Amino acid sequence: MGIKNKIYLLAYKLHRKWLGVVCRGKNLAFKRNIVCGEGSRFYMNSSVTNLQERDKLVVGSNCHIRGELFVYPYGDGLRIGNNSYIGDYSIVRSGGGISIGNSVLIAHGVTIIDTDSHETDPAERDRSFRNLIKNGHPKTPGSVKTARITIEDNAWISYGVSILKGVTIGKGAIVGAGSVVTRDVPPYTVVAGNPAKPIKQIPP
Amino acid sequence: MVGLVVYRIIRKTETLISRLKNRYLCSRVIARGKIRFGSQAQIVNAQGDPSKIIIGDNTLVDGILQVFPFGAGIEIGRNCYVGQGSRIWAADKITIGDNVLISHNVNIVDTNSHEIDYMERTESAARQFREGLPKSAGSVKTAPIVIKDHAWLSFDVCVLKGVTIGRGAIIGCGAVVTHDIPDFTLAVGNPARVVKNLLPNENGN
Repeated sequence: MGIKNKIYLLAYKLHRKWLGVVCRGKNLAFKRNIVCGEGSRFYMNSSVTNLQERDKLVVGSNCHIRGELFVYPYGDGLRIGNNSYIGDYSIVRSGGGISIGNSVLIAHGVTIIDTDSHETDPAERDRSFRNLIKNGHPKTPGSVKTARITIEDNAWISYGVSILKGVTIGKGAIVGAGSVVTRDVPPYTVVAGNPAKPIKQIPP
Repeated sequence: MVGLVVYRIIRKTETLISRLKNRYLCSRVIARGKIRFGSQAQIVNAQGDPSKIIIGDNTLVDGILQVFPFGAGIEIGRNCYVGQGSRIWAADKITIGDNVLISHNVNIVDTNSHEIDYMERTESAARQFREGLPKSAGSVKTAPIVIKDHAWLSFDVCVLKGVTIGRGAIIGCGAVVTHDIPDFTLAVGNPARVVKNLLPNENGN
């Protein structure tokens, strides 16, 4: 490797160090808007938006967040237990109430949204969307349906999964890659497919 | 006006950084010819040994290539494309032939990543948070993946462990490939099923 290449490598490594500093600043900024336990870390691609009071977004201790956490101006907010992981480009948006237990593993590209996000009536949807663009998120859900999502302790959600509103995922359950979870998943069960169906039981 | 100047300066810096990054990434792999990395490309080579990732001539990688601290690594052939946000994670061995097109957000992962038993999984995940990737597979199941020449994977496809995708096969968007796909077929759905034969039949259709 020539001297020129070495200089390039050094310059790039300096850039990486700079990004590390930015990321540390990001951590401090995020933790001002939320309630966060000891030892939790937000990574480079993570983002946190809390449109309610500080205590509506609670992250436990020793969590590792690489994805996006979002709390709408309505609903019961988002609670994450201890030792949980949320992977890159995973999106958790709470308009009704989401609770994620302890030691839950959520891989990358997972979408967990507990609201329909928009109205089903086209005219109403258009009106509220224009209002959203102009004035930001409304203070009430209006006729948008929301329902709580609960993910219990030790569950494992594989990559590319979508979890729809009103779903409860039981303790120690496993959701296979690319599944779409539309119904409750019982504890200690492996589910997969679209819509996700039980495949087998895991003895606890 | 000031905004425009600032924007242009930022763009120039970004181009420079991406060039530096390209050189850095090239030093982490073995390139058989001229290869290119896109702006979103990342390489995580936990074994540190460049020979664990081999990339053929004229291949463009814009995704994330990750080699675990164990296993035989990743081998990609000539004239391939790996799209933005696509992840190729090798804990065993992933072989991709020549002229393979892999769209964006495709996941090719040859390992279960975690244990099935929930207490074992919780413990090993906590250890992983503290110490980084595990040094051995333990009870996590892994199996090699082979994608043969001229295959085309559409966006949001998942390829699970132990799968072989045949020559010239096409996988439709959003498919989850759990079993082998034969040569020259079109497979879609979750789990992926063959819906069409792409070889011309006796009548020439």
